[in-house]
Amino acid sequence: MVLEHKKARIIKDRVFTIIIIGLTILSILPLFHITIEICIRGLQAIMQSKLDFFFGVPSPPGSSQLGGIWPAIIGSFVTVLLASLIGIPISLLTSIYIIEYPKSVLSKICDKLALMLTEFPTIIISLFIYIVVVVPMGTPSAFAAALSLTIIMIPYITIQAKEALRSIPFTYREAAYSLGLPRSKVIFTIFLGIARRGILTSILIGVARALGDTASILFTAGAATYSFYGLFGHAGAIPLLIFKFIQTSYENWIQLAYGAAFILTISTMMIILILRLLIKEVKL
Amino acid sequence: MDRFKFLTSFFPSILILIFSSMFIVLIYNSLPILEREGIRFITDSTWRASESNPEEEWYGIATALWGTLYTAILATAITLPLSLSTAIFICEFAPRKVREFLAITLDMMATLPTVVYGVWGMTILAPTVRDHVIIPIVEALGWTLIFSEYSPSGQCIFTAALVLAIMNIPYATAILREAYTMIPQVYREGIISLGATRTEAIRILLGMIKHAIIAAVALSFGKAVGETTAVTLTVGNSFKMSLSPFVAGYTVTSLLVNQFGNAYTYKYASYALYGAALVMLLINTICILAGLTLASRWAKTYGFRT
Repeated sequence: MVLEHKKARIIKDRVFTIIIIGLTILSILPLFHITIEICIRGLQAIMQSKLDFFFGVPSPPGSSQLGGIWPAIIGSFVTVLLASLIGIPISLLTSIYIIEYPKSVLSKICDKLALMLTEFPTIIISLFIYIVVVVPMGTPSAFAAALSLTIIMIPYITIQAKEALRSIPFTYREAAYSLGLPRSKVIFTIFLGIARRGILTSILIGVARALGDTASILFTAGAATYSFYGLFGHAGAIPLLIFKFIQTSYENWIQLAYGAAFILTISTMMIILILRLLIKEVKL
Repeated sequence: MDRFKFLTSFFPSILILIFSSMFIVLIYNSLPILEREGIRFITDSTWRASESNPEEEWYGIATALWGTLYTAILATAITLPLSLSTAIFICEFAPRKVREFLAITLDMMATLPTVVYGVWGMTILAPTVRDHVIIPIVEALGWTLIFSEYSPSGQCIFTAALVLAIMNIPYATAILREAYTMIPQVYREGIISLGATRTEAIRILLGMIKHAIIAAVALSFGKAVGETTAVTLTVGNSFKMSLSPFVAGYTVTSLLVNQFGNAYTYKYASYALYGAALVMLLINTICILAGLTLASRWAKTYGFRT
């Protein structure tokens, strides 16, 4: 009787274990399916137009030629670069403030706010920049898109940089301050140096987010399929191109979307692998 | 107050300024439609645009709101068991190598751009789901009124929920995992020493992180409500309000994406869209706030490391 009861418990344990393992496999399986499918279809597209894929413009809809996604690549590069130039200083200084003055009301609010902003619907950012920047300027532009991406980037960099700065051992802090340097010197020459790996991680995460975000630039970047029109003209971007082209019914544009999706997927994975080498635990 | 503090306080202030002005701008721009239609803006499902006569325009977002809540609830229901078992597997079963592999995989899932999920969901998942899930169910249960029709492209509420669920797994897993590892080792030792099997121990330990589970549900729900790109590509985008998850629908976010382009040709359409965005943002913010507070309060009440 007792033995049977024990047996039942052991069987229950086994079944439970199998269910857990099965569900775990089920939850990571989609990633591999996505990666494989996107790689196969994307590589096909890139093989078809070779180097032209990176340096050409999309061929007209419906033609047998593919063309390339050069305008989207340059658009993404310019907007993300500009967003980094604006966003990185703001977020680093915010994280420094949160760590250096943890008791002030401002830093407590910002601490929570940064976390909230990572879960923020990015389409709202698009609407906001549309009203505040695009309408007064009269046209969507690469500049407006860069501002959207800045807002995307800030919370991620702030949170990660904050963690990096927090992990500096207290004895190091004490030693740095005992040198008699002013606070700004201590922070910029010593603390940022000690936490440089973490800071780099934070910037990479921010860039990865900005590079892949579609919704936030949907209304702010405008439409530039065939060319790049400068900082204050319409701009394209890789995620935007994927989003628009995959919804068309032209075979060659759909192919281009797959190729672009492949590039986006590969660059994201590269960034994640670099992050893993830089630091063990990543908070995304 | 030293000078450095004063100078750097400028930057966190920017963060607060951006956040609050987003709310203010949305509220300001949706006032006209809220004044005009009142509560019926949320409860009505007619979406009527008129170029000639603005008086005839009427915008009710009930359809989109229904779609948003439906997809988010379905998505959360799918995410929870999957992320719970992934978290348990990582904490209890996985050897170090496997754990590291899973960590990298989950990181990639979290960073993979949403548009890639959208492309996959639209062109690969949707037809598969249509052929292997929707059609068999509709054939078997078609006599009930609920399942009588389905979306021929496979793009429907259910597909969107599936993609959302996959996208939310890494986030929910991270919260659950963090909470699970925070349980002091002595509890686990105590339970095991009473002769409990691993299953029984896990069940007791899960009871201790109940708040974290609720937090994970709230956060994934909030995230699902606000997700745009992947949903727009998979939900099917049609003004249909149905109980069936296999019918193409609209969510607030996909409504915004699809209607924003020509909204300015009508008098009230753009206000209606801002209003819809505001309602969506409120749901999202409440869920996220509740989730974050629950997650931190839970750690405090149990006296665990925070």
